Amino acid sequence: MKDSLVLKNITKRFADVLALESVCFTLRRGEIHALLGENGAGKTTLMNILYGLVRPDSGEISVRGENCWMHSPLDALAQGIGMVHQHFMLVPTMTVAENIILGQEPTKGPYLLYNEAERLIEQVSEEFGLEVQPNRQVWQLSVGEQQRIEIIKILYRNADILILDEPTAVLTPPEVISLFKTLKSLTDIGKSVVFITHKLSEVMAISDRVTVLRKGRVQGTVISCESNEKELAHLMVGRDVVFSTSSHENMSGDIVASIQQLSANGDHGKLALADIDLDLRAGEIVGVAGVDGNGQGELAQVLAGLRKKLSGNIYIKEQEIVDTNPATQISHGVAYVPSDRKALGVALDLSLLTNSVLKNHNIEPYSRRGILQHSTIRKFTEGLVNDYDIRCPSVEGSVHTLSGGNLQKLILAREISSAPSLLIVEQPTRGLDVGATETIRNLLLEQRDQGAAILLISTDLDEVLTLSNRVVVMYEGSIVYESSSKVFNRDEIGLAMAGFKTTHKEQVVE
Amino acid sequence: MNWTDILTASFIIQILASGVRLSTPLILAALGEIFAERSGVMNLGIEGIMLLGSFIGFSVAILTGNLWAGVGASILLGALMGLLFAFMSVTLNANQIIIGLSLLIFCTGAAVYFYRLQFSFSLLPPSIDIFETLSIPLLSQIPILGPIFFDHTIFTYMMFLAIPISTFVLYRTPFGLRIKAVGEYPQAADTVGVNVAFIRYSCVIIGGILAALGGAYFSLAEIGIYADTLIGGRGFIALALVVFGRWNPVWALAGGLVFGIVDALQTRLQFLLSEVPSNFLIMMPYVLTILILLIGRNKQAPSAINIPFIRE
Amino acid sequence: MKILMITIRRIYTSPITIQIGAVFLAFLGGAFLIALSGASPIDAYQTLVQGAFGSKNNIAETLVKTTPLLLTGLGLAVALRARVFNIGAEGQIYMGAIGAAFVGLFLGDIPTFIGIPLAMLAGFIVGALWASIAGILKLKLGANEIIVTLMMNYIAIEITHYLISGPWKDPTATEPFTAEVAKGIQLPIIIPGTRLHAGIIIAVIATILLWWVMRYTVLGYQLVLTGANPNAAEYGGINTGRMILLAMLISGGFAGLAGASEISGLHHRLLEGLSPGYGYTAIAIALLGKEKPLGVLVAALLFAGLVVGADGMQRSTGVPIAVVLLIEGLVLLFVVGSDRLRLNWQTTSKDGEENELD
Repeated sequence: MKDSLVLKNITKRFADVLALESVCFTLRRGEIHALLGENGAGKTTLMNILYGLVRPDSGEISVRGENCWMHSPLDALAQGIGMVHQHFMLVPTMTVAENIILGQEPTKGPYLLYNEAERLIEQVSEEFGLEVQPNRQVWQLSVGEQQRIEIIKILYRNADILILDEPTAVLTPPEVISLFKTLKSLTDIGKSVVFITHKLSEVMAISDRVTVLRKGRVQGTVISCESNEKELAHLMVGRDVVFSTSSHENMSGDIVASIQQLSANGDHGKLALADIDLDLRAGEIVGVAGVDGNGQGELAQVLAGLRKKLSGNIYIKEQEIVDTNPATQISHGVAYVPSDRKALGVALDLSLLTNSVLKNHNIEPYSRRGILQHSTIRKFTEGLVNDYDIRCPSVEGSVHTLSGGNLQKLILAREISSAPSLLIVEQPTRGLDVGATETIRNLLLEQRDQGAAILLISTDLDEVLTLSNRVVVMYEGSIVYESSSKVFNRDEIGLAMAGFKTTHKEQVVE
Repeated sequence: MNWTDILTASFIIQILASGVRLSTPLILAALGEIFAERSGVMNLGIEGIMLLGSFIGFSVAILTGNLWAGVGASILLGALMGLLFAFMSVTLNANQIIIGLSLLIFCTGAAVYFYRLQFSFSLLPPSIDIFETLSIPLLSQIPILGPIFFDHTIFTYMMFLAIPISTFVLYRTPFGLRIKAVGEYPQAADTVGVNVAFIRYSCVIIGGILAALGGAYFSLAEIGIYADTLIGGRGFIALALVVFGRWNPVWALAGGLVFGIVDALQTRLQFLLSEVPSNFLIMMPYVLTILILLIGRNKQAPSAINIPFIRE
Repeated sequence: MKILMITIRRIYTSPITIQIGAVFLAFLGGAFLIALSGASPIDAYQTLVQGAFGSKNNIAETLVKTTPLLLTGLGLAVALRARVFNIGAEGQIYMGAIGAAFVGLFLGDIPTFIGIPLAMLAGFIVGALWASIAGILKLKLGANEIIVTLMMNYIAIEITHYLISGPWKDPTATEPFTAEVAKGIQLPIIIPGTRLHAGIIIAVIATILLWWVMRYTVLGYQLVLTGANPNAAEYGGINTGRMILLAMLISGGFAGLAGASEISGLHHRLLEGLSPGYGYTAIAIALLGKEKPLGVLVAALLFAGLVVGADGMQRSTGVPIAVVLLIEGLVLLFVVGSDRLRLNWQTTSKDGEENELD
């Protein structure tokens, strides 16, 4: 029996970062094959290549024994490959049926045959045991139901191979069970499934085989039932033991920020933060490890005032902040370097001068009684450029000419310059080259040594382990692990990140 | 004229018939804009396209002595203007509001200029014989409904036909379904292989054609002359009609008829309500439009309207 | 040598060059259109320039026309920088005129040093308030502000018509206009023998004032940021909702000021046809001026010159004035089109920069 899918030596480079290196992956007919790895491991890139959204630099793809290239999702669909993205591609105001048939409508002459569409959909629904109500509008449906529609969409187009990208990220536990049942029945009929995930429990529960990716390379492909969580976690995060380079002479500074029982909703109305308790002290870097989408972003946003909390208390320097908004937080000494630098951190079309005072344009000495003090601003900006070695043609030039590293330096420099009590940084070195990465990390250490409390959120586990005094792991909106020992237990952290509950939590040094 | 004259059946019928007649250009333009906006493109320039369509129709009709040639010319022009707008907003991703206004200025200028060029030598304002009213046999004999609906020029009948055709296309064909998807969530349409640009181009061109026809109505079927003030803001009212009609042709028809009737009443009411300054009566359509917008806000505009679609 | 090549490349791809190129192309198109009328484009353009700037009187007339265009354009430029599209400037001009006329008709004989500022203030305030109605309707009731402002233009015009043929009508006249406004609010003529009134001075002062505000004040900074990236603006602690409302008020106010200046300086009474589409032309001017006050000044002069010069051109060469409207439209289309082309070209050449991993 031919393999459904063979990917051989797929390599892909983005700018100067190697996203995938000689990745080999096979999918057997009728199997559920999990693709496991952290953020940045390359899972989504690999699948995007398969689905025709990205072109690989080298390698081969063969589907059912025949070599082929995917130039677009249409090619992939033609080959029988369908993908369910993390972000659903459904038109909310159209009905279920309309969404499913869009682009491939049953017609007779100019007429769209709605009845025929319904019949075909019911056929698919029965064949694969996927319940669906064709005439409801999509916005009325639950997330689980919407996902089912995405699956029916690709089955309607006769997909043989289904790729699901982190499908359980948005589902409730009963919905997850339902999804697994569906997948099993699909493979029983002979369909094949690729299941991208970072959750170990799911890998063990549903997959036949699992391929682990780490930093663009395949770490191993194992038969799931012959492995266990510990082994997988090991493969996922690597074997090396990392000594934290920061000294743990806990300067044991005062508590700068205290978060108690904090809860908040995410963008889709679902709970993103669940009763978080966290203290942040001066002179300490607290690293938040965890795969993207487990609440870290929301935590940062609430602290920065960009997202309202549902319940709980936030204290900054012993003052309770009842109503958070950006201006208030800024005035309390909270600085924030967002993960989405270009969209949020700067106004790309405007100059360095303008962007450097984004947060403090309203206060002395950068403005006096409503009037900007341009010479002061210029000196300040030039100071930043010099001190932080920001390469730019001139400070009047617009920010979008800066390279990624220099842009990040500018933003970080700006935030640091306000001498913040609490500095929140998200993905500080994402997409940066080695030199810039080192610079940024040193800057963070410097700030810590000067007494700031730093909340470091990063999907790069090495980074978190290297820089932090204390590490917490967030999973599905809660803190599931905390450690401040000299040597961080990488395996335990990896397990926690993947949702495997450790039997003990280390004591936090008071 | 006094109130007792109003409440006679013949007067009411007369008004309603005029209302249907006068609503023709509004509804045609609004229909076209419904297509464009449903696909996610808002064309503020239809006032200009109407004026230019009115001029081209008039000009060609006089040159060839054939009214239908005029109609054909204005259809062509509308398509051309639609193509231009689509190119700038869909391919070049320029801001739709700005392009709409630019087109407004351009088309108005073109109409005014070329009219002067063509007719600067005539002493009297040139005019043509407009389309005759065609009474549809049998149907126009029906008491009351007959004279109101079936005693009009070909333009009005075109408008009547356009409503069910548009409704059919928008709600019963794959093309219509794709328009809806493209106007709400173009990324989703793109991932299933729908050609977003093609859909938008098509809809904007349809919009241009119908707007030009709406303008041509005035010079070819209503007054038989061209004047710079011919359209008088009706292009903008058509925009409002689209919102009021919740992007649905049948509701736009209803709204258009209301406006047509108000328009018809307006001149007659001025005689009656001479104590009320005429200006307030003239204001009526515009105030009505705002009120309509205030009540008609439950249905959302197509979500992707005014947002250029750029594939990631 | 390489530096020379790079510099040349930078010059011909710079936004200003491309804009000038687009304007040039538009005038080329205009030349073609003029040729259609049988006149020689060179003659036509010559008399155009003559008519606009060729004599003291002509220059004065051009400046007279520049005044309302500049004032309205300035306000719209500020709004545009905050990404607020105020299409209701036309109506705001009329409302401002009504405000000034009220001061001039009903407050009796007031001395000039009170009258003029009062009239100008009245114009500004009424215009701003008229603009804010659309803004509030949008915020509170979700009404589409484009349509609302458009409709309000017509309503404002009709209100004006009502006033000038009704309660405010000059009893001694048969035409619809008001009596002459009090001398106290009339702007003095600054070049004797012409129609050029002090409104141009107000406009130039406004230009400098707005230039200064946008460049040197926190308000200007916040408006610019709101337009450039509202998310980043919020992130920086700016209240973008307030900024948008302010943008509407400012643009409405300056349009109203334009209306007031037309009353006080030019017509000395409220009458019909006060604004032949200034409110719409001003949007074009704001765009061409790249939303900067100094640019708006140049663009306003250009458009005013076109209109005034066209008169002379028509008299000398017979080319209809309307060609100017057409050229305006061409300028707009070419400028916007070329700007987008430049941006598209820029982004494609920067591709492969940074791609998010995973």
